[in-house]
Amino acid sequence: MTDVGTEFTPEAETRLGEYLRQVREVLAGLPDVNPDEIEADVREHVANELRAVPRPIGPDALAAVLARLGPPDQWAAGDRPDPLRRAGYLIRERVRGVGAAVGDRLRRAWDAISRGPEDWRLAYLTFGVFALGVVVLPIFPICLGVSYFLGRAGIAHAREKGIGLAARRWLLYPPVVIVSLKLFVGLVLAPPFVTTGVIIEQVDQRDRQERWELIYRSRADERVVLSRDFIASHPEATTSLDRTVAPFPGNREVQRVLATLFLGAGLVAFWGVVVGSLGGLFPGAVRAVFCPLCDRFRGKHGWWLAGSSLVGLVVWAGWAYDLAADAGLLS
Amino acid sequence: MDTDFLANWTTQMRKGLLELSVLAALRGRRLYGYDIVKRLSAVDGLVIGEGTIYPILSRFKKEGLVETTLAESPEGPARKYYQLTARGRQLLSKMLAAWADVRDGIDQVAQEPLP
Repeated sequence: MTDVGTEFTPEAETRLGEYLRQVREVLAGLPDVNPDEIEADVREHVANELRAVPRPIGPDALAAVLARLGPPDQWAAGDRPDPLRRAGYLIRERVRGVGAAVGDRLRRAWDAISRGPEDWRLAYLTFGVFALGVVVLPIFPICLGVSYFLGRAGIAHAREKGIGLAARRWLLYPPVVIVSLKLFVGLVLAPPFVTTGVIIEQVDQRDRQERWELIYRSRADERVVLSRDFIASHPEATTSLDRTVAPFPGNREVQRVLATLFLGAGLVAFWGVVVGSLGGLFPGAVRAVFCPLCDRFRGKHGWWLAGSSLVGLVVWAGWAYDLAADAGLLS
Repeated sequence: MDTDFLANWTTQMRKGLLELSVLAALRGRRLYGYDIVKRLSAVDGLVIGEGTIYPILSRFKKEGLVETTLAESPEGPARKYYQLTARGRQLLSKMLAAWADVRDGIDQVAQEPLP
């Protein structure tokens, strides 16, 4: 086959491609011909006709040659095309087109990984490892960890070279964002809520123990079960927790919910002071750990968080002091 | 109606004659595909589109009437040359004989004196 494609202007090359597509389509329905061979003959014919034409060959020179070749549907005049053969050809062409497109993508990806610049290689590797974990779920944690570090390396490499990530971000970000999001939730958001839950659980256990002793002693009955209804039917049993939450409005249940929220608010404010201060002192560490979520984080942001949280904590402490005084805990 | 009939008849006649001409062009020699096209295109009224010859060559090759050989070319890539097979030569002889009979018969009919 004579490859003349590179000698044409883009417009002429498109025109030739369209003509050859028509040739293949017409010949597909004809029995006893080899469309590939004829396409090669036509390419050779065009190359011979245009041998003396200055390069690159434009659409006008090509059009004259194609006009002499004639419209491809004329080539089949008088022949009886086989519809089954034609349908089979069209299906094969479609499958071949899809296969070629997929193959081209895979080839480009492999080229980028094996021979391409480092930034693309890392991007494809990152996404490849991540995708493998998604497909084979049992190894997802391992793949996520590996792809996270590969992604971080890719991002760092791009920054080091001063080039934008552009489309590479879609390959690099998925594992990095997932891990960073988990770290952000685990290190920044969760601690005050987890701590609140743990404290409430501990207090609740002690309260149950205290309430059980109060009610058991009054009834001398070891089968006492501290159900919600049972507690409600013994309002006379007042525990330390009941006295502590008494300053809050509402009945005993509402008071306990409000007290929990109040405790949580205090812990959130306290944690805000801690996290904000650390962020203010080490902004680079924040950007590194929570990349790319906190790429624009600066020390001042940490201090703003610490300052506002400190104000909230002071207000909370004052309120807590008043509540403790109302509950008689300070006397 | 007449126009369609004439177009169809011309197509069929030209197709048959073109097939004969392709085989005749290869009698006693081998030719480069592009040269076959150019030789036949020079015959007035025989070839409407130069591209029509390539499917004929492809079909003849599949039917075993012609065979191809690749030969180096000083002007570029190797070229594909066509030549008749033994079967192609036999068929060409029969087709030329049939064509001569038809042509002579038509001439004879056309030259018969009017009654």
